[in-house]
Amino acid sequence: MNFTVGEVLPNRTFSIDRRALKAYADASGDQNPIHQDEAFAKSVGLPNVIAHGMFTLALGGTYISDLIGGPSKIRKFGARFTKPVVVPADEPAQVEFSGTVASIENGIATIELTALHGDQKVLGMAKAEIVID
Amino acid sequence: MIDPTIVGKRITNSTPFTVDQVSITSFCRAIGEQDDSFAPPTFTFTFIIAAFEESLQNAGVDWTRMVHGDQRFEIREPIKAGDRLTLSSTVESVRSAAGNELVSVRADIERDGREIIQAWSTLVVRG
Repeated sequence: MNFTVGEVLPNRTFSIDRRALKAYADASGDQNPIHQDEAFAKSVGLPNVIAHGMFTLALGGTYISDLIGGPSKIRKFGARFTKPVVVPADEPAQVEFSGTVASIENGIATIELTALHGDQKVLGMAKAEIVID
Repeated sequence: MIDPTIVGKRITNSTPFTVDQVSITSFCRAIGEQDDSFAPPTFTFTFIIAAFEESLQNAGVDWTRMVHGDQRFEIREPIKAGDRLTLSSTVESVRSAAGNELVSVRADIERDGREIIQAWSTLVVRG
């Protein structure tokens, strides 16, 4: 893969529905009912079921991994969780990832990520550092 | 109030645990990752969260008001199936901000006595 500083990476939209949340809950072990049970989520003041923040971050990892040919070259990865991704029963939530190559130094490229749900940024300071050949 | 004296508390699991391919593959499927030859970077969180919960036991944390504030990983070598790992969890800080309580915890993951991954989480107890 051949990156240049300032390069804007192709964006990608992930669709998150209730079934995806259940699959993530089972695979990750995080069975918090705010991610599956609408009545419970509303009872604790949320507008509806919300996606696991770690699920959204994991999708960002998949976005990067697909661009660079697998997850094993990711050396640093992280973000703040700034807004919840609300997932209504009848309407999958869309999260659009995009990325920019912020720097390349000593064989490491830093990619700054943006994750948008509607017009809201759901991740803050999201960054990945990857090994480039 | 979170007990501030838990800062510095460190918990280590002395018995290594083994990562299996089924866990990695099902995690990859759930997140749309097609390459399951290594664990994705965020897979680590699936087993460190239990260590963080143990670190914060009896420290006055209201788990019903807990949300995840931020998360980052430093990965020297990625995890793969068959890895035997040990895990330590350390409470790095406890503080208040904007009416919330924030606790920062770090996980150190070793394979064969070598540190391969560190992970930092900020957990927020909403005020």
